[in-house]
Amino acid sequence: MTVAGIIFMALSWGIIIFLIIFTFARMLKKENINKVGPRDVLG
Amino acid sequence: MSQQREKWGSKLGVILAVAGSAVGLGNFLRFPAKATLNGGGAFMIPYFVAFLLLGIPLMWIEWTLGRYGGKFGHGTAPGIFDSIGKNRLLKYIGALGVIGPFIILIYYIYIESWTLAYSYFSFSGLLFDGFDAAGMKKFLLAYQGVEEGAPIYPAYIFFTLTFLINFYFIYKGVKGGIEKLSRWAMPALIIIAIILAIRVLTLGTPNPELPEQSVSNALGFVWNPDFSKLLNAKVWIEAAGQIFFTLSVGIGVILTYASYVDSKEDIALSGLSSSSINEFCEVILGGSIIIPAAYVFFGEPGAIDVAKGGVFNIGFVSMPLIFDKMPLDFIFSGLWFILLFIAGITSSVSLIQPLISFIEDEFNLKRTTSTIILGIVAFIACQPVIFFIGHGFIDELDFWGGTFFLIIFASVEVFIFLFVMKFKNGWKELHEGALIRVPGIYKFIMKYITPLFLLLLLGFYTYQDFFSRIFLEDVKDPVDKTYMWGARIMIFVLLISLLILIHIAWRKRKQKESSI
Repeated sequence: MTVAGIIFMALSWGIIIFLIIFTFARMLKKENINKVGPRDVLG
Repeated sequence: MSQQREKWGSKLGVILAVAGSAVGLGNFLRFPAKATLNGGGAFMIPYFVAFLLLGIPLMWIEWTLGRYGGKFGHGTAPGIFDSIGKNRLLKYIGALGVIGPFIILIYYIYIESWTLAYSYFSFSGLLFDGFDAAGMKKFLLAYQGVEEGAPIYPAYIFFTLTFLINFYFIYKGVKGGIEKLSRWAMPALIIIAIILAIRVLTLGTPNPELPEQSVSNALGFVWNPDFSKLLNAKVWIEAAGQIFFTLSVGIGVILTYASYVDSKEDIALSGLSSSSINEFCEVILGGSIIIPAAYVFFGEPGAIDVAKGGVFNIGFVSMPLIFDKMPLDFIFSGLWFILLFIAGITSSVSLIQPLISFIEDEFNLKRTTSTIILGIVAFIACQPVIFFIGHGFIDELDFWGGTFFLIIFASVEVFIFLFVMKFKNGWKELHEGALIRVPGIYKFIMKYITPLFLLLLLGFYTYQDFFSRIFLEDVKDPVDKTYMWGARIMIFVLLISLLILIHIAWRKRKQKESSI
């Protein structure tokens, strides 16, 4: 396995694991963005 | 409008159910082969680009349309589209979102039953009778009843069993059946896949005389990037196609599942979570089992042959041969087929649910009645798949139901989201109850990039497959052609029947409304 292969594998796995941790961590916070404050959801 | 509609019991339940729908046989059989043949690590560049620009936006669009329709008591595209726009044709266009899952269901459930049978054959040792590749292929053909003189009844028994298990969970309902199934099946699937991946990744160099056939080189074979492949447009289209199919977008299943989400519950984060679980199962687990194992035992040429062999060949011929070379072959092979069965059943129940929702919501029938009606129709529709499998019947259903309708229906959904619901309203609906704020860049992506990507995909498939397929140019045997035309007639009859049912349902509703 080349260094480039290791980097691509680590990056791909890393992105996916980050996504899972991020989404479940947000869910545990249970912070509904529409209830947070006056911010407009339409940006 | 139906009686009180069910709701999911929990947020985790719906996330696991949608993830279960998305994680199917393709995660473990299709992805590793595609990645290996299309540039290894470099394939992940177009793959993630497609995930961000096509997969995630489409997934959010389906969740949004689905939950919106659920507020009006509709769980399938005909009702959902009709509640969004005023045009009377919309409900008929929505038929694509009901017929698609049904066509996929009638062959998918049969293939799923093979995995149940093969797990039995593995644990009982029947599968390890000194077969080589030719012997294993013969075993599969005999099981399917395609071999001369081979009985079909074992396959029929396992099919019936699989069919009944599926409809049992459907009968138990969204919360009591599908959600319960997903809550134990998804963790079980992930645990089994991790066990198999660890087994493969700890194989080392099984044959000391062939030191190049090591796990390290096997992972290199999968992941070493070949950037020259990125210059090939086909690789980008392959990646987009893989993302499209793996996330189960464009089928109509997410629409239905989202319609059972409470109108004030989050969908933006739930959609992202379920997609992430699917990617975990596909890239991390799916990429660590088949191809590395094939490389370690058969070397690079063997692994390429496996990757090129097609989904059935990989799953039912190559993998048992690979496990045959490991100690405790029957256990790992059994686990492999149980893994596929779990991946299959969480997908197949999701293919049944849109039709159940259609009957329940639009005809106001109870779940027991809906399950019995659909069970009878589906069982009858599965028969040609079982008995005509040797004549390309499944291929034909897969092309129309599993490929063509999906891309067309996804394009329709995008059109409805952008121009009928209007993007501004859709964006607002997506954020109703949301636990995350979707980045503003997605306004541009959803409006312009996703539709363009879909058009390219549609154009490519039309150019590559449609015209040769429609005239069956690649089919040499005239008998097979007859059966394949039979499959088309079946699809046509099902579609016309569905359109008539939609017409009757709306006429009845109109009469009811005018009498009030």
